[in-house]
Amino acid sequence: MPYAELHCKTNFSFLVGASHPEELVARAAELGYCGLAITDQHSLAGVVRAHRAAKEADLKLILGAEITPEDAPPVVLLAKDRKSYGRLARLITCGRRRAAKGDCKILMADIAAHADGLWAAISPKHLPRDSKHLLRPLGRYRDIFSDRTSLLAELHLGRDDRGKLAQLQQFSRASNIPLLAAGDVHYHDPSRRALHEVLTATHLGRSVDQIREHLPANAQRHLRPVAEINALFSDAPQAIERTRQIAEACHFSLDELRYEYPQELVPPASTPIGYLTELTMRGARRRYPDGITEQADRRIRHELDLIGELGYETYFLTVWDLVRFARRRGILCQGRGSAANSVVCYCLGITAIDPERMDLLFERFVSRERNEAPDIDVDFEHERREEVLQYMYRKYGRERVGMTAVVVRYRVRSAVRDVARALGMMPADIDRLTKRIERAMPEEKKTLPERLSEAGLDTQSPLGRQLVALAELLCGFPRHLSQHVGGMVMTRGPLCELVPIENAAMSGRTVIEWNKDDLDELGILKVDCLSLGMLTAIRKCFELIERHWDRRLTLANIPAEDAGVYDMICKAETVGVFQIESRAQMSMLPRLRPRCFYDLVIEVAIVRPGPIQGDLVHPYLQRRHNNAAVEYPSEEVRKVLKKTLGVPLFQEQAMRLAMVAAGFTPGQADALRRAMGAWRSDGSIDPFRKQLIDGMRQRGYSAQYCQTLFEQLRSFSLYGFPESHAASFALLVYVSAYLKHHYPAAFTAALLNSQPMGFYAPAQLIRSARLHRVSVRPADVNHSEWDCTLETDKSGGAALRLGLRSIAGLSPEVAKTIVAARNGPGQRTGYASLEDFVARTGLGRAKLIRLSCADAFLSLKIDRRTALWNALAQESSQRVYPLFGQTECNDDLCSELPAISEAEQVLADYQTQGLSLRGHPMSFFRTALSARGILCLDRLGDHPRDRRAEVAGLVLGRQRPATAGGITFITIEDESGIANLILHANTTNRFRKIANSAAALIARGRVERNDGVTHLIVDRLQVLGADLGANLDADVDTDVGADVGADVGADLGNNLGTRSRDYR
Amino acid sequence: MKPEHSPKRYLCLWFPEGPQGQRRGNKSGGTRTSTVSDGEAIGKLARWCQQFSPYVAIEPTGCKERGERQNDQAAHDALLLEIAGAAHLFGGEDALAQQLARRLSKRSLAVGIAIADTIGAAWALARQEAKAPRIDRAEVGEGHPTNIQILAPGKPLLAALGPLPLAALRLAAPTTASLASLGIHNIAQLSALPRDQLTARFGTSLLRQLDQATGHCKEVLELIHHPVPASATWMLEFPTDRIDLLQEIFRRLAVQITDTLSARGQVPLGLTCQLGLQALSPINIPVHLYRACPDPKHLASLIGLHLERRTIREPVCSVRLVVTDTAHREAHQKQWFAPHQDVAGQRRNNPSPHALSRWIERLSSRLGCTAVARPELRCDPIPERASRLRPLTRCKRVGKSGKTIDPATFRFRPLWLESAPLPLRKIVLDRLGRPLRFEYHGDTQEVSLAAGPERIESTWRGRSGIRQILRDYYRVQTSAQRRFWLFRRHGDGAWFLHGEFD
Repeated sequence: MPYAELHCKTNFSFLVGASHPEELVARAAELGYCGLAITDQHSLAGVVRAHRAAKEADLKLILGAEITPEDAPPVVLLAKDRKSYGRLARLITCGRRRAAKGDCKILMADIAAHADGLWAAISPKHLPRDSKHLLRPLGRYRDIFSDRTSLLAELHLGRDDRGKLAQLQQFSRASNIPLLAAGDVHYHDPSRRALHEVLTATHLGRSVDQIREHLPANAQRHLRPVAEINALFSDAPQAIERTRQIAEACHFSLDELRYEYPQELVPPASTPIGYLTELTMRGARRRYPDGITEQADRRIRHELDLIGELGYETYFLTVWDLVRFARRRGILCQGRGSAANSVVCYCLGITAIDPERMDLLFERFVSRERNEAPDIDVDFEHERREEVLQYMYRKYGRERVGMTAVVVRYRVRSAVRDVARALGMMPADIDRLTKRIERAMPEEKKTLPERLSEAGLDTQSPLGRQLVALAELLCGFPRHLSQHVGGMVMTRGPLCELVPIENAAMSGRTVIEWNKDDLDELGILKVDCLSLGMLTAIRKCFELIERHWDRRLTLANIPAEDAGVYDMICKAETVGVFQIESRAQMSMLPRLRPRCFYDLVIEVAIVRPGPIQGDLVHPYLQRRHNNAAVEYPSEEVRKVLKKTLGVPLFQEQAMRLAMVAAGFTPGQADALRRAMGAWRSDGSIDPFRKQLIDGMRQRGYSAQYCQTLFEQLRSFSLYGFPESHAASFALLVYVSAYLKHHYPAAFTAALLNSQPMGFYAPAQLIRSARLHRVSVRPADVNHSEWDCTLETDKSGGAALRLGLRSIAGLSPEVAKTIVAARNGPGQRTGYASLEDFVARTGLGRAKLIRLSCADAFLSLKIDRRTALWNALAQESSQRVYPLFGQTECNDDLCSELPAISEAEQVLADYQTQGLSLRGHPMSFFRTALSARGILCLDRLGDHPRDRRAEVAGLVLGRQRPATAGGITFITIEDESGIANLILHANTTNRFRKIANSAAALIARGRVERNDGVTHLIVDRLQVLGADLGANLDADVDTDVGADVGADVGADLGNNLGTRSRDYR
Repeated sequence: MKPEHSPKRYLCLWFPEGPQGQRRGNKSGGTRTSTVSDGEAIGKLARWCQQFSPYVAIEPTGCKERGERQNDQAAHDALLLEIAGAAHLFGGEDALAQQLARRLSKRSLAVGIAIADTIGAAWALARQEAKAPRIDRAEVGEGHPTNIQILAPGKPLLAALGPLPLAALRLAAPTTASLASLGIHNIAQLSALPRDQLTARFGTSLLRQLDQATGHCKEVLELIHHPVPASATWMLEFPTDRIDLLQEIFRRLAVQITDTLSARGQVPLGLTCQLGLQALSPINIPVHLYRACPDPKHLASLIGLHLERRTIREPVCSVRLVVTDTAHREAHQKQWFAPHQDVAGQRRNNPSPHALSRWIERLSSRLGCTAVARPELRCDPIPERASRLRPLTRCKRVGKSGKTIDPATFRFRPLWLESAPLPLRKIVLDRLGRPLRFEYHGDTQEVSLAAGPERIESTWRGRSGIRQILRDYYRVQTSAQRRFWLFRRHGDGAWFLHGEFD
């Protein structure tokens, strides 16, 4: 008798299900089930993955969810058609929105309100001895669902299956609800039982040994062969027959979901495409003030035709609306990614790159063949993106808009932790194990046994074997849903009837249960509202320029191709400039020597893991220095590759090559690109490879060229950029470089006011600004505001005044108080004395101490020590007595306090602000360091290659790129310059603690130099610390000098660490 | 004001790596995991130190200022001994310090030792990393650096303490940080500042700490005290091998300890009897009670019953009883009327509620603990492990475990279980795989009713490793009206008989 399993949980019932949806579907198909229902607990998060797998396996999939109302036994609800599916999604939304993240609160009344069309199967968890307890809720369910109600009979070879079945049959007769056979499936295969027990233990926060009474005695909760189930239900064959009936009755498939974008933006008299055309043409006239060329016009028509044909017009309108909103609010925004290929986006003001001028390929963005939604990503200022998000929630309502989810999966470390805890290991031992497993992605689980045995676990012991096997299984399991960085989904109808919406951990945000891949699978469009710190900085810089120079700059009217800007870029003086400020980019700039905008586009694209691994960088550099050497096999290829000197660098070029050289259609070319990008499945590329090589051979290219080209395409497409994206970013590179070159003070102030962002900490930004002869003034209660501001220096130029925000631990409110009391009505004068300051601001002891330590009273002629001595004597909270406001200055001075040395000043500056305008901490150790043969960093560049050297400095940042094979890059700084350290994996392991956490260090190693870029390959690390302090060569030579030195040294080693920027 | 000569001398022990020494990881990464907390370990050390001075204190916190507690690690790393009258017993202060250093070094403990006139000064000096040898400094043992500093009595303390960093004053971290920001790094600098201004800024505790260290202000040592376990000893003038004599000694000692305990409001729940022999090592007899009992006669008789099981190869020369476990009196006394009268069940028609427990204790003593046990149900689906025997006298009788087992469970489990499943041969099955006929003890059993299968499966459990159990159980009734519990083992399909119902 055919059988369909109608009660089955995937691992999207977090910590309950122990199999992936795909595994369950594949197994059900293998066993010849006539259907499989995915019924996760209060969730539809796993259904899209199951849907995809079911389509491949040709299995009938039924969608549903297990709902546990607070006032009735749990029930499995199955969707019959599109409408009932919508009601199920709405029911879950309703329960989820009521509860905190991850929780759900549903009552019987809610189920009744959404019951129409749903099939219900009641799951009596425990059979009560007194039949009344069950019959009453059964009756209520029966009233709601009438003959769509069933009673689940789930037999698991327990103690008394026959008795249980007989009892259920009795209930069934008494309540007039037919029995339905099911398996309460938690995993696809009995071998997953152990993992299921681990998950249950984790769920209960205990070890497996402690929860035996909660665990079933056998592994029957898997998908069982149909024959076995038939044998189990030999007394009640109608229960099996009913599974088939229900499976047939529920005919809903996710393919039926018709997804539509909101249409309210279209004026009543117009059609969406008509309105989009109108907006586009209006925008085009603005974009091409000299008249729209015929070519551009053709292009616009082509795009609009395709957009109309695929029905994406309302999507474009929605994005246009967002951008319009942001512009009105003065929020800078710019489209990135492949959307810049579209002239329509350009005309609508979504992107800033003219695809016509750049010769970009629209098919990279939207193609007929690719049945996939286009992806428009828009960057907004990072501090103001929330305004845009809330605008969307307001405009469309919570029922119609939600953020895309991100499925947070078990990683190696979390998997080991949970499995170890479930196996009953001691917390201390678990910590020891997991400490050795640094953040590793689920894909890295292959090295797990090695890592664990390194951490001291005997992986051959029974416990060790279990731990490894279970942790490997658990890796990649979904753990909870989180929110995507910015993907927003909007619908014309209620979104909550498409997919359940739940509360996010962040207040004011709501999230749908599907992630990006799920949305792609169903062709649902999302708008990525990303945040970009540089946009914030640029906007702030524009504002400063307008205020102080009375010049109104926008992203669009920045003068193009300024030679001075490129001179600066070629010298790699790009600290703070968007994208090209990183270590790798800065080392490339002097070699690439960009001279025009397109060079920047290439610069952005070429310093990427893909091109670097594909060995495209050197050929490009060689050809750039000697242009004649480039040879093209044909005129068509020359056209495509000319702008990158024969090196295929962009995804668009790959597509064009396939089109002109191998006769691909645009859509096929896009499919080829995607197949190359799909690194997971190596097999999918083979048909394309054949097609590509055959096509090229037919057109007369040499076999060798075909092969080289194919390999090149393949290697870079892993991480390659679309050209449009590189161009969008290059625009911001140019703008920020322009601002840095022409308005260094304003640019630095804007960067500092937008922290945290970018690659460098404030100290390096200021250092770079001072190198550009910007005078920087310290934060001061009489001159500073919260933000950094500009002042006029003696020669009439701009000087940068640090804001009070640079003082660690000071809140904006305090700054506001200080500024308000300074500029308040009737008190136009600055603070005259500390006492005056206290009386006018009413700030308490703690805040005064902070300000004193940060040396913010310098303009009162009080140094930090005296100020602190006074601050300490203040009351913990001051009250302002307006009548006594004007008292004479009688600050309390203490002559016994030791005078402060320069080294202490610098150190205190670093501790309170992370930077010092007085000097560099390393300079105070120079004599001692030189005595040990340690070089200044600026001398490393002249050091002979391959010779050993020893350097010391403050750590600016650490990087461990995933593609670098375990290499750690550390950037250090001293008073003379910056140096890059390279640590191979074994060095990192040997000096793990120093490499990962020291704030200042001494490194010894071998000097390496390529194309004028110097690195130190480190083989020994040492903390720069207290032992040096005794040799402090500052101006303190009293008997306490050694103590001070030790303090300074120890602080250097310990306290400054919070300031370095560590990325992994 | 000149500090008058202090008659007191303090010795401070500071354990820089904690009272348990440093836990060093071995090469394979496995680290020694300790079972006791630092707090317990320092308590143990403190009691150990009482052999040098009766006045031992655990320095309660790392910092005393404003009663702030730092983290727990700082809380348990220093001991203070008052040694004014005790040092000469060990050959003077120097010799005492050396001896302490040597013996602590043997325990693999790194330690700093200082002797001074005030608690504060001793504490500060003990923590001082020896930059330059001040008075005396010794390296004792290998790998466990020991730093000894002795400040002669009556010396001006401020001069000695002056160069020490401020942390030596037991100050809170924010205070030292603030002072460091002011450029004040050591005690000499601090004492040079105007006192009234300091108080206005840091409160009175800063100066109090300073004054206590320099001896301008008194400080009280908070001594440790700990209860001595109740015990009683009897030394025999002439060793004896007479049971009746020993029995009498047991009784008298039992009276002694029950009296001691009853003064504390306690009743013995377990004790150890130690018999000292002449040449051989002493014999320990542990006695566990089922119910706390204050009756010395009963206790004595229990020890006597133990002796009946043992051979003692030498005459006994001393007897010592030590109470190992006690209960509060309330837990024991449940009756208003004197329960002592009908001990040993003399009046049979009205047996005391204690009669049963007395009987259990006597049996356990005579036959050995493990021989008197009761079955205990456990939540394990594997029948062999579903119950186990527990010695009755070892059962913890307070706080019953809250686990209740569904009574329905027992309906499907036989009362009688083979200790190991019995393999069945000559078994005949029906087409559904249920048994029809099998041979048991030579008789052929015809199955008339069979219910099942019930699958019981164990793939892995805990640390013991993987043991595969996969069985299908059947309840069968034979034509002779006997009900058996059979199972088929998966894998080889062998059949076993595991138990019989009724």
